[in-house]
Amino acid sequence: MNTKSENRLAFENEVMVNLDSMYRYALHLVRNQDDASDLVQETCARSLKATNRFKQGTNARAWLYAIMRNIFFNQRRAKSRGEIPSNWTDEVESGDQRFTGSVWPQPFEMFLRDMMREDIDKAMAMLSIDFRGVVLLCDVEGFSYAETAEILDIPVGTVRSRLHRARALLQKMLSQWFNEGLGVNES
Amino acid sequence: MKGWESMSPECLFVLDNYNDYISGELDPDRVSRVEAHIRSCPNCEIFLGKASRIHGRTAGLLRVQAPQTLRKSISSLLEKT
Repeated sequence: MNTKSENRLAFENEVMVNLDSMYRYALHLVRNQDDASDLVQETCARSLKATNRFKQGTNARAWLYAIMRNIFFNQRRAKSRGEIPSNWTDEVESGDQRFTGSVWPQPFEMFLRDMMREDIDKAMAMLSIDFRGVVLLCDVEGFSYAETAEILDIPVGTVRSRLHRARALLQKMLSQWFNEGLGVNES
Repeated sequence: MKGWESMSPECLFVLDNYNDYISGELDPDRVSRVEAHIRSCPNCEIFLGKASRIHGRTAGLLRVQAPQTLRKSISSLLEKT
């Protein structure tokens, strides 16, 4: 019988709990669904070899992100791989379940949601990888400025300025939605 | 939001700080100052509400999930290793 340490079990739990989040970050980095899955698997495999350095109660998610980022940049340096346009919208497999209820209850609103999501994907794709990274880490994943700075290995002030600039660009690119009130009729 | 020339110092304060406010990164004194101002300034209240909703909606729509195939392969990896 394979007996795992308490630390190892805690780590495995962190990996599974953060899998969606890791996948989103991988998608942001590689912009390709298959490569994103590969990157998550490689990150998990590498992190498993280093579980002795994992301490319960620490920010495992930030640690996993940092490992993933290192793997990505090392791979990118090792081989030049063409960036393949991704379609993030295809990835929202259970979007209907997650956006039902009072937020998007009717077919027309669902149609609008899909249209808007497509535009958000396009807008995100137009951001540089640096800007996209901070939007993803701060706004989508909810990391603090300090945590984001640690993951990306940049100063907190740079996180702040990139985020503010990226949000302004997104707001400008998506202004049609919000100025027409289509995407802002509920909180 | 009004034009720069017609903004009060408190409106400009909101404009300078709304991103950190939305991120939850603003210190409590500044949060109080922002919130005190928007209670008395409809323009800033609308502006901040709109910015918050854009941020929330954009982030919400970007929260995709990992494919089930990946979830299974990671579970398997954890089991075997």
